Amino acid sequence: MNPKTVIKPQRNTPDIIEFEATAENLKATIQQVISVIQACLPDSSPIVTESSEFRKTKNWDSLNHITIILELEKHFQVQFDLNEVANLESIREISKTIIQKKKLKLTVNEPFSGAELKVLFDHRKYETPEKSDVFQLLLDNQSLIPYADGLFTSAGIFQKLVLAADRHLSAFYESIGAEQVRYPSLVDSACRSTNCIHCYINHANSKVNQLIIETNMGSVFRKENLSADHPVRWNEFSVREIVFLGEKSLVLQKVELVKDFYLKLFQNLKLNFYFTEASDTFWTTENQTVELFQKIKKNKFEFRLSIPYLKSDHAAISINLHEDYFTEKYQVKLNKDGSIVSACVGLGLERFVFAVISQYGLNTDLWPFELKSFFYIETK
Amino acid sequence: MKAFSIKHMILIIFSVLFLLHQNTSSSFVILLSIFSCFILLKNFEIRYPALVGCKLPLAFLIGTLIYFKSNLGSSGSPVGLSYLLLPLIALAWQNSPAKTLSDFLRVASSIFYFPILIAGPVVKIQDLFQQIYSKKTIQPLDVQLGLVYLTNGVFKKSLANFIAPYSLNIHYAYNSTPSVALFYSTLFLIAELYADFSGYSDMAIGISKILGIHLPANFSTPYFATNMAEFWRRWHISLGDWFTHNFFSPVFIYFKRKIPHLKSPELYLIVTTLTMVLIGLWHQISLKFLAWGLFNGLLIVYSPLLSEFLKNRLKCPTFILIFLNLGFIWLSFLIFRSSELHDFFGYVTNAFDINFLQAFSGRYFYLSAYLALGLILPQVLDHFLLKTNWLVTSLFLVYLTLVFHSQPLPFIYAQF
Repeated sequence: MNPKTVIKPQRNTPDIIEFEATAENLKATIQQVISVIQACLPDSSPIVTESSEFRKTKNWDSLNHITIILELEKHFQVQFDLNEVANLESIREISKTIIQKKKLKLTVNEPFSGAELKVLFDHRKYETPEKSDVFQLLLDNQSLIPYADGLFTSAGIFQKLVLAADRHLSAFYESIGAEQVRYPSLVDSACRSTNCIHCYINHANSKVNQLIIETNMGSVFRKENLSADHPVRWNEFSVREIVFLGEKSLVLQKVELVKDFYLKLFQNLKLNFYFTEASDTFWTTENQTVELFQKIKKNKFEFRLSIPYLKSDHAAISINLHEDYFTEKYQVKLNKDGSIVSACVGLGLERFVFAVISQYGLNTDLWPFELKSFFYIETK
Repeated sequence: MKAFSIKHMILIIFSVLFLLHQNTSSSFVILLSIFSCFILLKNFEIRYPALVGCKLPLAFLIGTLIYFKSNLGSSGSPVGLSYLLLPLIALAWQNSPAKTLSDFLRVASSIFYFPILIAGPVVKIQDLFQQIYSKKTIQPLDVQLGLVYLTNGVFKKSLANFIAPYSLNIHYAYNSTPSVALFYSTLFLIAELYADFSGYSDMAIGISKILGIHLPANFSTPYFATNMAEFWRRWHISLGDWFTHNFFSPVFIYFKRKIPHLKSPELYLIVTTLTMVLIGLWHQISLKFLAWGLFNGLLIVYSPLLSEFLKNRLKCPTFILIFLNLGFIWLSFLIFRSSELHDFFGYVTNAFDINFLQAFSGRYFYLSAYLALGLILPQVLDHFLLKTNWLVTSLFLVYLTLVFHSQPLPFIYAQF
């Protein structure tokens, strides 16, 4: 592949937008589905809850099921395929199917979908050796052990690589002056979380001298990744994050530094990736997302790494420039005159390692030298 | 990867041996399944999308089912054919194999899962696949529950064998058999069918449970149902579910969209009868099962109305409704068990000739007692089984099995 060709992202919108939209909608959809079903069942029926199921709930029999399906179609303005009907057994399945059906509409109507996302740097040029389903390989050699839907225990080589990557990156962050911090995971009602929010809460109503740099590693939750074409659902994964809070020029300078570091690093590691604008908003509660989106629009960038066996890619790093959104919200001020902003760069460790393995395989002996040394693997 | 593959290989080899042990036409089933596995494989779908798009696999699977069910296959329907094909048809029809299934060995071990091959329950391959593929280890609680199910299944089968000599034999010459014998034997049929069929299901569920695999329930004390719609929700549940999901609902919705002015009750009557006819023909494509399907379809629609009327207007107690429903079940099973449709009429008319009232005399008390035992005991056991101590229950069931021990007989449902 010619590296100079500017390649558009494979989808108009990155998958994160899709599941952001679905994550927001899932709860609301479930509620609506429940009320539609309750209305279709006779008065003597029990109260429908999220765990109600066709045939297991009183009065929800095959005849009422038809009424329910037809009512749902009317309510949500969708039409189920006839061969989909068999799977519409539980409230959850029904809600998911509806969201999947509505997704096409969402991407058309949503204001951000129209934005043209430019690929700023394309480095998908290697013919990497691994072509097989590495997710399966990881499951087979017990490096990933499924615990529940989208949740995994990581072990063996996978865990080693995650830890090595984190060790390497946190050393780099410390070298540019970041302070190590650790925060608990705050999981909000939609079961999503982000770590950098702690930094702003921590410094709320205070005055900052010039620049605060913090780095932390923690779990983030992305409930309901419904992205159907990506078999690897990470409902929880670890993120090594660096947060900048301070004078605008200093923050941007540091973000630039971090960005260049990754650009060089990934080239050096001979990874297939591209650096792109992303239009996704920041993970906070739902109302904030909307507000924030209107305010900052296109201040997000992503490093997306190729997953050869899926003929696709996923975001491993996201760079978020929040401008003054959080500093205003949490009343963080500068000691001197000037505008104060915040930014964060997060690297999904499992996502990163997974992409590396899917490009170069599980046998680290066959890896390029640079890749081995990044992950502290001894060369024989 | 290796350990995993070995586990699946063992499962497949055992299933193949199990099938080969049954009869030679089974080898055809095996070939068919292997072929189906390939069809379902991800690579296949990617390489030949047009083939999958035109529903060729679906047509092939349904064609095979029809071929064997219509007696075109000279050696009859191979053991396990239905329970192998129904889940595959659902999978092909729902058009989502690639998302669920990607590995040949794993797919094969789910399709071939031997405990269910003889007589169900009908499972969703996706569910089975996920369970076989999960790394869940064997749990003591599962083993205990599995043992209870298994011993209960064995007991029910031995009870069925014990009842079998009294039950309706299709070779009975109904003209020369005394009406009392005919009357009792048709009643014993009800007891035998439940004990035999649910006994098998319980064994399959029990064995799977021990292996940590959860199979859907197939029965829920069906003879305590007060109308035929309820009965069919409690009898062979997994088959009913399969037809509801893959035939009844889609067809109903299709008609509702195409002919919007058609009222739901009428459509319900039509589609329910169609579904039951199809279930009938699933057993065997013949006039007898066509009649059986029509009979059950109409009863499913109208018997709830009747029981509603009896209960609300005439204040009939529930046990009368249950008895009435047992009458419907009795007729339904009689059609089911007759070799031809005219035999059914022969049984009914001859069983109710003038002498049949003798059946209620003291001389036949022991038969009535056996009948009550055969009908009620398994259902009562099923109801209370899981609420008791597993060890005591299992031992008690083993004891009962020994009490009712008689010569072994094949499973009635294995012929479907």
